[in-house]
Amino acid sequence: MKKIIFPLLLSMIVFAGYTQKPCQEYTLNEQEGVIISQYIMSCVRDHWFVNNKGIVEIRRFVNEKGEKCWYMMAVIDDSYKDNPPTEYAWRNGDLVFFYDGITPTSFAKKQTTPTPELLACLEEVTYDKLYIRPPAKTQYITVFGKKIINTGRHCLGNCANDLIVTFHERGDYTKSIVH
Amino acid sequence: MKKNLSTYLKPILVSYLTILFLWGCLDNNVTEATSGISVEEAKQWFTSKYLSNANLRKNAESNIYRKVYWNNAFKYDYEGLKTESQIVVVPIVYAQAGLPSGFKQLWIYKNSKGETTHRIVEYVYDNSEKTRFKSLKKFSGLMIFRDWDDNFLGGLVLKNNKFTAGISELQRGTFEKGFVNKKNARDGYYICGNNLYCVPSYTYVVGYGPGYWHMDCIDDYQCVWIDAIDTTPPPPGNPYYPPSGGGGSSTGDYSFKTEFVESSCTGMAKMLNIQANEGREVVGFLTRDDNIIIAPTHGHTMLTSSINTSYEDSNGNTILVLFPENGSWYVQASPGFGNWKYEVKATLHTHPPGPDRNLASGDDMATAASYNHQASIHNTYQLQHFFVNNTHLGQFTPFGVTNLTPNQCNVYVGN
Repeated sequence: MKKIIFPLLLSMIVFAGYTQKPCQEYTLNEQEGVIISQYIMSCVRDHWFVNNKGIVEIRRFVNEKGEKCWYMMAVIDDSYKDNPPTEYAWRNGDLVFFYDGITPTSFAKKQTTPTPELLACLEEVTYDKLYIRPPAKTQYITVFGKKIINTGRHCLGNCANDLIVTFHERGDYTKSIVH
Repeated sequence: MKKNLSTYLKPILVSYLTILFLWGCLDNNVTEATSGISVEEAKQWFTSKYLSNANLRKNAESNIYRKVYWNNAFKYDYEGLKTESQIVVVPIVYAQAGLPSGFKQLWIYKNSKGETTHRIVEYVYDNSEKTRFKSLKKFSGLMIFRDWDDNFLGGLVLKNNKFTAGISELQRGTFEKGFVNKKNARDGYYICGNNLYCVPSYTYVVGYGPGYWHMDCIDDYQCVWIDAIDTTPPPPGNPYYPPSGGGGSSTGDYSFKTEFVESSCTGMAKMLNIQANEGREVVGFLTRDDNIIIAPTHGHTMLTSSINTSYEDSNGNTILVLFPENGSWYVQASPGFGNWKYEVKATLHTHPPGPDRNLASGDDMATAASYNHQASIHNTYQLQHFFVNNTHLGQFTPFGVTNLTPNQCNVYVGN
């Protein structure tokens, strides 16, 4: 009897531990894997991934036709710590973070709480793939004879390699550039 | 067995025949032509044969129109050949709803039989070569040949201005179609690129004039099948030179210029006009009293723009700054531009036409988030953020578009 109960308990504990893991691995299907591979290739080719740093961020949403869509972007720093994902995937040696939109039709990321457990879970999978952001500091510059606060540069549009992938019901997909 | 062999040989033969056909066109028609054609003769021939109905639509279903710039036509003399071996090169600007959306060349020449003929030539930059913004004289990428009716005739692959391979097939539609159909066909490879309505992709951008224009785009994807065959010796040269002019610019060059425009309607219209003329996004600021300040466009592209603390002229002198001060946001110009200073309540940037023109991109939202953060640490109010295109005015926050209205100031030329 003990021989049965002990493994059963053990497996229940392991299963319970697994389900309580704050970040979960998502298994990509073949088509999704191909899309991500192509995107990673473009990130490497066009230098959006630098010095072997970089992961793919995917925001899931639904377009006005009800089709499943991905908003894909390249990320090279650990800004995910402000709003960590709860789901990730591997494509060979590359890491993908998955987010859901704040609404089903939005690709603005749903806000999550960066708990220590979740961050630790994600740290396990990010390894050294991301740069650490330096803390922000106020800088002053002198122009027209006076000191002003330098608020920096802010790029609008598609400043990196952002892409929207739309999965059609018939099984194929299209990609479109963001602007 | 016989059937299998035929199956494998057929595409190879077709490929070679296509290349030979194209090669023949170039060699026979250009390098061996014994009689040239003048611009006037070319114009007369082409106008009577193809433009007699004055219908410049690309095809019946298309809403893309073509304008042939005969005034900018020139004769190209192939390097090292007699002046009789000239072709007439005419720029064509493709336009959709009045916005320049593509640049190609019309070649008119006499073939070896002395017959006048033509080709429409499309240049597709190879982005990996980092030549997107360089002169066409250092071209790496694809040359795609079609006729006026948009029938694909073949193409060539060039690296550093030398032919390296041929293009036998052009696939339009979806990426998968091109890939699945061809992956086992023969020992070649394919190149695909996004091909969108009036939105340039990294692959299909052609440098020309003050800005750059993308190719005419009908399908999501355009794939070309590259035949890895030896094409040496390469022809001695190519008529790549885009003629000066042709694009025009009614707004002037705003690369290093700032301007205060009274009335947000007038200002937005001007920003859209600059976008149309320069082929790149334009940033502005909405002042407290609803006027517009247009920022320099240097460094912007058809897909991107930026909001900076400071903008410089071509000599590196600061001409415009945006900064928080005493709880407010201000934009100030240099003495050379009037030394004015205005309180601003919003940023504004243009979006080019396209299927996703009413979306705020991830970078747009990140910019809004960053300015919200700046507002909190510098104790100012939050700036509002808008995009404007030729149909809508959209307001966005870090969480996406919050307000989208038909642009009440819709005075964009071409609409």
